[in-house]
Amino acid sequence: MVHKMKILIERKNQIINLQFTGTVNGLLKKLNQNPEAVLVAVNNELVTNDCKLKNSDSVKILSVVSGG
Amino acid sequence: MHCTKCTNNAVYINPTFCKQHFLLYIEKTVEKTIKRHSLIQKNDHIVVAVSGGKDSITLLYILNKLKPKLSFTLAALAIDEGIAGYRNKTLVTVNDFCKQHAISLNIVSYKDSFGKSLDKFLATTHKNTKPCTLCGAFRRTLLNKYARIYSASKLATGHNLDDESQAIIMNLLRGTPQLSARLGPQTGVIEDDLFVPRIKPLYFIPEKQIAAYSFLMKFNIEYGECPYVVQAYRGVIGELLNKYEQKHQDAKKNIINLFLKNKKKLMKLSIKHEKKVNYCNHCKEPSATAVCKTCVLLENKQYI
Repeated sequence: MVHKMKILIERKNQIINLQFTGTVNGLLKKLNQNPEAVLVAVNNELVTNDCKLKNSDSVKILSVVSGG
Repeated sequence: MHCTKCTNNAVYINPTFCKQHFLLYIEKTVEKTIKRHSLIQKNDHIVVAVSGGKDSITLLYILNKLKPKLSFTLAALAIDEGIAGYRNKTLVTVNDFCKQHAISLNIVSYKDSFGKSLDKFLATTHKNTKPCTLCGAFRRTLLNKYARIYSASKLATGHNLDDESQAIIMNLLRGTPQLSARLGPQTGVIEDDLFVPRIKPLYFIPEKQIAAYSFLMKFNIEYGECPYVVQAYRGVIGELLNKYEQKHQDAKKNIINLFLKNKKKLMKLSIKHEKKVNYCNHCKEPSATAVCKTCVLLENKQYI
């Protein structure tokens, strides 16, 4: 069975299942997300953009833009 | 990557700190801003404008923590604009948070003050008005009025470095740079008894750092946004600045610093335009013009 990374893009309330190897920064580029505008939590822990990801990880991309 | 102060893993880059040092850094930055810009004096009564979003909850939490050290009192004030599916949720956060931290909270609604919710205004009498124009004017009026009613010596808001740099650029692009004289860690060009001075203790902290603080503190906040924000010019500028910041680190900080260096010149320009405070002919609240913006926007002025 092929493991796929589970990614939640919180602003769009969208869940993506994706096979990916690389860093958080690489994932943000692939998903066209500006690192200045989001925080990334891996398995509910805040991580920096150089963090290496595994396909078993659960990733949350949180928008930092003010709610208004 | 490791924390620059210890051997733990970093949770944030620039400043590169672990959880413990990052939280401390944010709290120290707020305290430094308060002291350096004389935002709070001993015995002040601070009313915090709170929406339930990450900025205002972070502000409320840190001020509540600093309260004994800096000898001031604190209360929270929330405005219920009446935005279905959004504000009702954030007000639950505010309520729970204030209960948990034993902070006194008052909620004032557009419906009680102006007769209708924001949703209703925009769906009926104000279909062609920009939501943020209407909401901003109403909110400013109510925050000042009720901060005064609740005996505030200062009204604290959760404006951050992103908000402020966006406002400066918006004023420049609109050809009204003199309006930026109203910005800064402590605002208000002219003093008046009916105006409650406003302070912004999160002034030097980027939005992303506040979001990280709020996440690490496990504040129960929905990271959603107002449904009307997509229509706002501010959102466009915010996105542009974030794209620019990605390539040119500290761009937003540089905008703020350049503005603060030139603020005195802007204030001189602004005072020429705003020599004295008028009082609105209709609601008697302080106003730059004979009739305040809120009353101009309200077709039926009897609600004020």
